[in-house]
Amino acid sequence: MKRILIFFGVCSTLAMNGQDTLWILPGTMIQGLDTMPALRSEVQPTWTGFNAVIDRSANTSNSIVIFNTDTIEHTWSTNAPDATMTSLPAEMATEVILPNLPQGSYRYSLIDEPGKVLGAGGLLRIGWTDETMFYWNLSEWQPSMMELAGAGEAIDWTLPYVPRHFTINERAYPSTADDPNALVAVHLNDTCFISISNLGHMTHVLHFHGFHVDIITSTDHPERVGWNKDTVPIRKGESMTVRLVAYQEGMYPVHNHNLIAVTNAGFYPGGMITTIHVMP
Amino acid sequence: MIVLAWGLLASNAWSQMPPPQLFSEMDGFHFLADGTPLPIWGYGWVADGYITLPGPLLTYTEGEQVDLNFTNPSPESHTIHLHGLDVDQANDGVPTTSFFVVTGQSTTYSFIADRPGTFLYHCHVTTTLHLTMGMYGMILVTRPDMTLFEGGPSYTEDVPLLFSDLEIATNLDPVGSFPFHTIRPDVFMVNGRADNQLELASQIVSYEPGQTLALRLGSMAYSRMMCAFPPELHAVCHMSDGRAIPEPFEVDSLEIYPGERFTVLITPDAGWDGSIEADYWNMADGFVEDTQFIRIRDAALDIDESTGTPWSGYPNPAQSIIQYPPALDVTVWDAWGREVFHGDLLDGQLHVSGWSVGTYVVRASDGPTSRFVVVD
Repeated sequence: MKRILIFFGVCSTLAMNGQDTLWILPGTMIQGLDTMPALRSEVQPTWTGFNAVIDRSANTSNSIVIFNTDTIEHTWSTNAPDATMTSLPAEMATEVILPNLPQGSYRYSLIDEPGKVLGAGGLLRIGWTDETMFYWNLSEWQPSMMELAGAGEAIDWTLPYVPRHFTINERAYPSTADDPNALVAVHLNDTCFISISNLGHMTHVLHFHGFHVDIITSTDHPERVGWNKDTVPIRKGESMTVRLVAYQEGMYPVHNHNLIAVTNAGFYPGGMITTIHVMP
Repeated sequence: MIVLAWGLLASNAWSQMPPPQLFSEMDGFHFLADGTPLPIWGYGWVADGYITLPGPLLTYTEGEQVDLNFTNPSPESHTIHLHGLDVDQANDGVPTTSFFVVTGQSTTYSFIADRPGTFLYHCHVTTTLHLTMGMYGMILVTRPDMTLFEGGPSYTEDVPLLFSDLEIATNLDPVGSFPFHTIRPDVFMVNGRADNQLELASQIVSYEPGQTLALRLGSMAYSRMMCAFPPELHAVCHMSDGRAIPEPFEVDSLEIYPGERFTVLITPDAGWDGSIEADYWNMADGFVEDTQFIRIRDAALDIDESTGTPWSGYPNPAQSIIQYPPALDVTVWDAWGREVFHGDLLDGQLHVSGWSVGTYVVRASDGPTSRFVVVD
């Protein structure tokens, strides 16, 4: 009953103030033959398995209501400058204030141990209004670690880390082709922007076939803003915006060049691969 | 011998066409620092008839129309992906969007080398496996006026430095190497060399005082590289991924991730003899797996040859003639310690055609030894 009451309370606030709401949802992630406990930050109270993207205007203060439907407390934060941590009590709604932020791509996520291992987090896009936008929420998944986190047991971070699955927007290739935000489909000479964030626990290195991209914003590599690259490392926790000018037609892969990450449970091809499709 | 069979194929297939430049094979050997031969797959010049790790350095001039002929006599399909050259889909070397080069087939990759810089090439078939087996190399696109790019700084010499690594168990048993996500390299290389191999005179980067060298750094490793540049090198990073960096920066340490390239100019102090330290970090858990040293020294300094470093006479077995320095008195033993050859090599050539398959040890009259392998 408590849960239902709070849920309606949040809806009422939403209707008055136009705030977005995130639901922290426990569920099950299925990749190949692996079934893993997982958490997601979704825009509706029912599990789809995909983390939400939050869009906000630049240089304005915002808030967001987060409903933690899990049975344990979590801690929420972003990688924005001067970010604060917010506790999300179990089965409660909490209003989180987002600071004024310049245009860019940022990451929000749960930062407590089970929260970060189970993968509730995504992109916070600030100040993008009229641009053609795509987004890639990168992560990798180690089932044994997720089982421990799901059972509330401590993780031994000193052990070798051997993830079995690698995803873009919680999808592994070839399912990335089914995601209109992972598959960059544009027309010849279009300019588009891709918001990228690394939700995982290791650096991911994206190699673009057919194109160099301009680094527009970066939370961890500000010195690289303005660089024009075909191979772009995105550190653990980093967010980045890149600009792509589609100057030649065709289909061109984009993939992690750490080549263990283009597999699904060891099978090639898989994992962190998507496509740039430039149509006439 | 492989080289003989290959010679016949090449002459027939290309009698009406320009000769192929690169070929791929899957039965090469690469010598580790301790002399152990390790199976590799890779690329080689057709004219040489053997493959190397890394593959041959491909060099082009800015603006050049390139027709890279490639033929594949190996038992499996391969391609050449021109990493970073932004070629069109047809020439991209990705089998699913471009095409496979199947066994016995030849093709030509065509593109304009329209940007100067450091690039890479590699096979894009079952990429995780084919790269760790050795199917990669570096491409340099340079300018005749020896500037890095139009309006860019000038330099006197290119120094390609390609970082890579491999897992011995995978190379010994590529068919049984599944699952690929557990590959964890245990050999860490610079231009295919490691440890004492990097102390060979041929591997030491030498310079004349006042010279500016362009270090062409690229990574085909599974590891994250961290390179430390001593202040005596006066290192400045000017380019990444074949593009000028808007604001060049002095560099004392540089991260290089798999597939990335950087061009760093160095103007070492006169009389300097030291190393760039290259750390190999595991990408997943951040452990430092290994460190290699790229030695750089003033050319006027004497090279100490008394360190006991074995010279490498024969880097690859896929040919029937092994070239040593001329007028060398050598003795060769087989794997059972039986002497199979002793004599002077007036022209430096040791002919092994018809020799039994196996590993051999060769010692020159002045002491150093090396190994080679004869294969079918």
